[in-house]
Amino acid sequence: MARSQNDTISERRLRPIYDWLDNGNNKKALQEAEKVLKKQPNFQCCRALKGLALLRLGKEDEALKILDGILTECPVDEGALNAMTLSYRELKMPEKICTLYENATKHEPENEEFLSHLFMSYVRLGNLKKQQTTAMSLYKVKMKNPYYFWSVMSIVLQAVEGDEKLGQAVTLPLAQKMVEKMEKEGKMEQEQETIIYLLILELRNNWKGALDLLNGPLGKKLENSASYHLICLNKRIELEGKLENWSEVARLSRNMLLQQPDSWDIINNYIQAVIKLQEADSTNGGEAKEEGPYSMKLNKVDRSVEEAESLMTCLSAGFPGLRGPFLAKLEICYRTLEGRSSLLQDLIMEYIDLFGGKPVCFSDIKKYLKVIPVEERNNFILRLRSRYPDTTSVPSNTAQIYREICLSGIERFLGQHLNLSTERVDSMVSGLCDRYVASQPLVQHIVTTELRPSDGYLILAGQLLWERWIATKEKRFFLQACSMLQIGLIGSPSNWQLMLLLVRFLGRAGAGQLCDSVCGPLDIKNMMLDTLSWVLTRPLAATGYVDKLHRIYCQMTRFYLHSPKETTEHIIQAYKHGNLSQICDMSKLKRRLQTTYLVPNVYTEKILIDLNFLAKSLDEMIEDAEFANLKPIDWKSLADNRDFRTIQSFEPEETSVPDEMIATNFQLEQAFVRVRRATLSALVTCLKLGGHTEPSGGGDKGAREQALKDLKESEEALSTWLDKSKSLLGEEKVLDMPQAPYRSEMNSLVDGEHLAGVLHCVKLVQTIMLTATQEKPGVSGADFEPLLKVLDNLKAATATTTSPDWTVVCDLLESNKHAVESFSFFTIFTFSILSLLRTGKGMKKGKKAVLGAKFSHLEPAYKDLTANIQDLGAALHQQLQAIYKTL
Amino acid sequence: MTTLRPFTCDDLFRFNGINLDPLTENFGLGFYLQYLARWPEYFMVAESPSGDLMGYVMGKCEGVGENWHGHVTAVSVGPDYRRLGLAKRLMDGLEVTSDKKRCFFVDLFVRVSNKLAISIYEKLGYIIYRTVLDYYSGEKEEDAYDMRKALSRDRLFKSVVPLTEPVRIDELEF
Repeated sequence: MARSQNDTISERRLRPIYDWLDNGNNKKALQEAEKVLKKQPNFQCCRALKGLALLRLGKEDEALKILDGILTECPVDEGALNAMTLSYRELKMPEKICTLYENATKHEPENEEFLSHLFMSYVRLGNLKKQQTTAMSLYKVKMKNPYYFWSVMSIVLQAVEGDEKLGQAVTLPLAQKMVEKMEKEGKMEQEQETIIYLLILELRNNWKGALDLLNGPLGKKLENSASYHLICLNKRIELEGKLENWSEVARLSRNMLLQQPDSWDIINNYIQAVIKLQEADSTNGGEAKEEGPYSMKLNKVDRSVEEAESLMTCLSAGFPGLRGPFLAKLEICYRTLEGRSSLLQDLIMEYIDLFGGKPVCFSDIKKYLKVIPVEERNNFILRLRSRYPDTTSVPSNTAQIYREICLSGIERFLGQHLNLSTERVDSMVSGLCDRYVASQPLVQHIVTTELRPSDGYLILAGQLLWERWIATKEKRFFLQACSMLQIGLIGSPSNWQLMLLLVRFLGRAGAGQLCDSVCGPLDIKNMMLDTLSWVLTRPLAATGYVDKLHRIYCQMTRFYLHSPKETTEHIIQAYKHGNLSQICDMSKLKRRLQTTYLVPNVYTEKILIDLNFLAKSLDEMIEDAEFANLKPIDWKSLADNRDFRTIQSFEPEETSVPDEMIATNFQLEQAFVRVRRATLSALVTCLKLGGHTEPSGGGDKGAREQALKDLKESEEALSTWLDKSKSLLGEEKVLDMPQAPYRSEMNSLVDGEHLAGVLHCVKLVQTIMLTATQEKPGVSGADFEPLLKVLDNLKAATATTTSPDWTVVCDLLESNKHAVESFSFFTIFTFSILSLLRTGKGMKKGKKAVLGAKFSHLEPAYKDLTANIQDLGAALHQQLQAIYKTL
Repeated sequence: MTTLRPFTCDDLFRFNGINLDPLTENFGLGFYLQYLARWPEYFMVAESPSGDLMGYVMGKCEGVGENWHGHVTAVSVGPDYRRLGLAKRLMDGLEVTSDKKRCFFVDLFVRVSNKLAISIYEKLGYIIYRTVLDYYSGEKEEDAYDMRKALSRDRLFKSVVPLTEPVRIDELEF
């Protein structure tokens, strides 16, 4: 009784602290906590809350001292544990939460809640083995199925994320055995438990076992559930397919098609099975074919392509207006193409007759158009056009607009737009624009949030103009395309296809700021930062529009910092709600977000902008360097999440973006990140050196050795990736199309000797450092020569002025941006060189630095270096002024 | 013609063609994950034969007693795949799931200005149950219609008797 009375008093005393914390008044919370602690100095929960308040007041060190103090006392008070969990989470120290609950469970090993918290704290760390054992301990304390399956799931994840062989040989069999035990004891309760069972069997490639499970009592129960009915039906067909039971696949998928004739995955399964059966029958001598009309009864097994075609004919008659059965006929013909090319073409025509008035038509038939033999393509288009003569009459409804755009798209896709003369392009573009204008009365009523069907004319015209602009360099094509797309956007302001195409035009001509305003309505945020930001960031970077770029990079850095943590919190939710099958998927998402190459890319570029453009003084630069968090990067597992599919394309194979091209571009992007990271790392090291080291090699030996190690690493990375990039650039297939990735920035970086300059700087700094401590023969003026040469070359390169050819303006601006950056880099390196060469400690303002005795012979070389950098700066300044005058 | 399947995390990298639509909210990652973690059966996606995403529906079930209902949080179809009856297929799926879960009704919120969507929902059997004042905040502040459709369990259609007075957002239970 006395204890509970004490508890109540304590609780009453804590209440105001909680309230202040909830209201965000941390100062008051701190005062209140201190008041309580005067009366009860050992009150754990109150101390923990004081820690939390301090932490939120920005006094992290003080907070941590208190919290770590309580941690050693192994608290079991619920309030203290909660406050500490919250604090450690805010301090980003999830491992301490584990210690907290490890201690608590040692004290009270039967406490379900502590164990549950411990399990979740391991999920936050991704410690699967400990998750597994903790879940098992939980199950021993409370025999609840979810705990048992938390353990099973933790084992499955070890197999999925760890070594595959070990997974197959040890972890998965263990998980299977655990589930089988529950099954035998009749303890399976939730649908998700069966789903996990199925997942384990599938991961072990045990198709037969999985199918038996699905057809057994557990599977039947699953099939009757609200959530998994469809999944079960599809899974059964998939598993029968894996087992090559083609007649069963044909029967089951046909049964489903009789009810849902528009299910494309089922259609595919059905067609595959029927073709396999026909092939088998033809080698076995064949089964007797049924006579008479095609029967639509359930459970029939179709064994021939003719029967499959009959089924589709019946289905299309029974469900008029559905595309599925018609497209299925195309698919059947496609898969059994030999000698049936003319039939395929007839079917395509029939398909266009029926569905050409819908915007989906082109993407439906693209795959089949591709296999029309090149020599038959002209004839095919002639036949098509004779069916829908391209008269001067204007479209009379939206279906006609869609059909016309589809037909023009087909022409482009079949290569009719390749190698056109300028006159032909002019007449085609004016034809498309005329159609656009003529169709306006039909689309005027469409609200601005909808896309207008007639916009497709402009997209096609824009693509034609792009090709002409690049080929002829005549700016009239550029101007025409931009005005046309801009006019399109006035009528159809939500059409992102028009926006994306316009951005590509503007970006190519170096109009970074305009790109930004065109992209505004796209509102690129959240996941799109990862998939689509590339469209905007590159033109911004190339044109040196750093303020906006910096804002986007900050937004992206925040996204990449929070997303994996957020995903973990939802993995915990999935455990809590028993949706275990989501966990593998979410873990994969977490990895994909953590490994996107944009994480190191964006962070590196952001700090480089901080250093080069935003820092207002040397002190600020040194501060930026101190704060730069250059964690090691797992280069081998970087992923490319950029989306190249969203920009509409009617491109023929010759100009469509092949996967290999994206792969090469990705390699170059990675190489770019590597050299930029190496550059940044060297700059950070040199800024720290310049800011802190004692002159002439004095100072902290450990720090100096670390600096030398870092510089060596940067040097190696720079020289390796400079070479590799050169050979990669040799292989780079540049496809100058609006839907292709931008040409890699590595081009301008390598061309302009910027990297070579940085590399010389890094070498020079090392040589001076080693001379200072007499580990190497003395540095001489000759060591400055290669760098001086690069500076001369860069200065000479600035002599190139702007071009009347607007297709190269972006590249020119990008080279200039690199030159300005390099100028800034060289200045930073020179600062650290001077700090190593000078005699006096510290860099006093207005006081002339004097070189140390060991380095006095370098005075002429050093003077040359600073003079050359100043010359480069002056030349760049002049050059940039000239450019902006002409723009 | 479509492949209808559960939405997976990978689809988050591929749904730009749907989410660039100005009336489709591009939520924060956590919002999608919350639905995937709690109501995965209510999150379906339609994939085209060419492998592109055509549309998706995202929803949940909640409430007690006669308020136990399915809720459509978002349903959206990419522009190239409209007028093919896809929204209907997606909504049908959600209604079937809700029906099997013994829900009384399905509801959704829509901007009062989004006439096109409202007419689609009406065609699918939804009625305007009530107006919620200032439901949408941010740049385009606006009222919402709370639209409902009764399921088989609500035999007397008690859930779809429209309210005559609008409600404020703080009066909303769900």
